[in-house]
Amino acid sequence: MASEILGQHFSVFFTEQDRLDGKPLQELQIAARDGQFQTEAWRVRKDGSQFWASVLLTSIKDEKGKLSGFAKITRDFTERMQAQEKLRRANTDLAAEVKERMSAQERLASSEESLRELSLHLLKTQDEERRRIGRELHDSLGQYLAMLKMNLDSLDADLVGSNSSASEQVARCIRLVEDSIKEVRTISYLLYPPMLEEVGLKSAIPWYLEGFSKRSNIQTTFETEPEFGRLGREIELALFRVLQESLTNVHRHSGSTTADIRLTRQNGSVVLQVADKGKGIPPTLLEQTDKDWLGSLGVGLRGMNERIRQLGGKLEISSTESGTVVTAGVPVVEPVSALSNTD
Amino acid sequence: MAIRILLADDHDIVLEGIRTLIAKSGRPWQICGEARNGEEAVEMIQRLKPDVVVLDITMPKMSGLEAAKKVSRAGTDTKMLMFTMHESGRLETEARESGAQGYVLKAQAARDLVRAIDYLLDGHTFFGAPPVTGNPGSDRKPGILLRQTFAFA
Repeated sequence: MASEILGQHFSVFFTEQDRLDGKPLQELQIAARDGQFQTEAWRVRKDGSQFWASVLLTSIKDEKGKLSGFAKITRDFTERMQAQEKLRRANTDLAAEVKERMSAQERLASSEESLRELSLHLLKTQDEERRRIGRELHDSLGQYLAMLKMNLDSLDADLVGSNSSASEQVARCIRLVEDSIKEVRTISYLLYPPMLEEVGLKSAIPWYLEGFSKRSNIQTTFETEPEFGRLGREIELALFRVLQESLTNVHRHSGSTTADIRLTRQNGSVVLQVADKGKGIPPTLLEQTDKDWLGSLGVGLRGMNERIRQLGGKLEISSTESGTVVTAGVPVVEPVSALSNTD
Repeated sequence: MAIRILLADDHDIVLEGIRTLIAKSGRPWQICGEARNGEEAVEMIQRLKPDVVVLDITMPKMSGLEAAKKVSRAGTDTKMLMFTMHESGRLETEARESGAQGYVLKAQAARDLVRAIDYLLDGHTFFGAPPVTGNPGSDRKPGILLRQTFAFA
């Protein structure tokens, strides 16, 4: 009721602290000077509870312009203020959440990069280890076996026409050592193609195709340029592994009876293409997002993709119902013409 | 003047094996030097001018194929015989293209090495391991020419 406030001092609306700070008088002084004073602040109800108020204090002057009093409008904005506060907090929370998500994304991207680096490192380590073991088998154990066979052959020749039992024993030893040589050669070739280092990609490809065609019954053709030359070791190995992986897929999944391989140089890049005339990759696999489609084709091609990417190149797969083409392109600075073995 | 032969291989056991085979063959050949890598082989071929070099393919510093190419490009009368672990028609073709006149597998050394050197000294090539026809010294045939094919079935 209005009567309840009549005669009360203006400062009863203020909080204890505001009164101590002298705010009631300050606000009246501003209103007197400027004609009005406007603010939003905590005020006190008659029951002593606080509310958020919008206050408009207007000075009242008589005809001569002399201050005769003040008019005051106080509106309770507590709810609005609470809503605003809520909104502000929500905004702050949202900003924090966005920040957290961005940070999580960054961590995820960083983890993915680490994982990619790790997998690449593992591929390289595996390559090196295979190469080392393959070469050790072929170049060290293989030489001993070859010389062992040479000595047995000589012994066999010496024994011609003499003790037949000894001759038979030697013949058995020769067969055993021949089998050992074959075993060692097969294992070492599968571990690491020695042809690749000896004669380069251009010559290692037909060598590999020869064996692949025999094993798989898939007819292969190889087209390249007469003066193709050598490439860096990493590039040759990466492209060779792409060839192996692609042909494995042709054999296992495509149903194609042929595979056509091309190795060319185009605008500063070397391009390897493996094309088959099989049933193609199922559209459901190809329709997946760019990031996933390689993964869905298996760890093998994904690894190849990483190798090619690392060399600044690109692996592409196009597939229809009448066949699939895998294309790996790697930029090359200049051909390496001389071959040198460092081990 | 005795026939002079240069050996190039990075494995002692192989060098020893070749020496034994040559000695056992009774041929009046003299081993004029032993190179341990491709670079040494090129230098020794050019300096010693042997009649025949027995050249391993996988060697440090420079492969036997690359060494053969270098020597061929520079021009030489030395006959070059590849002596290798690699059993591959493709590699035989590479060897021929690099200027070698023969290709012998280490595992067939006892049967083919001395015979191949005989072939080369006689002005023939030795590729694809020609069949043994009695006394190799009296019935030598030119090596089989390998065709280069790029289609496989």
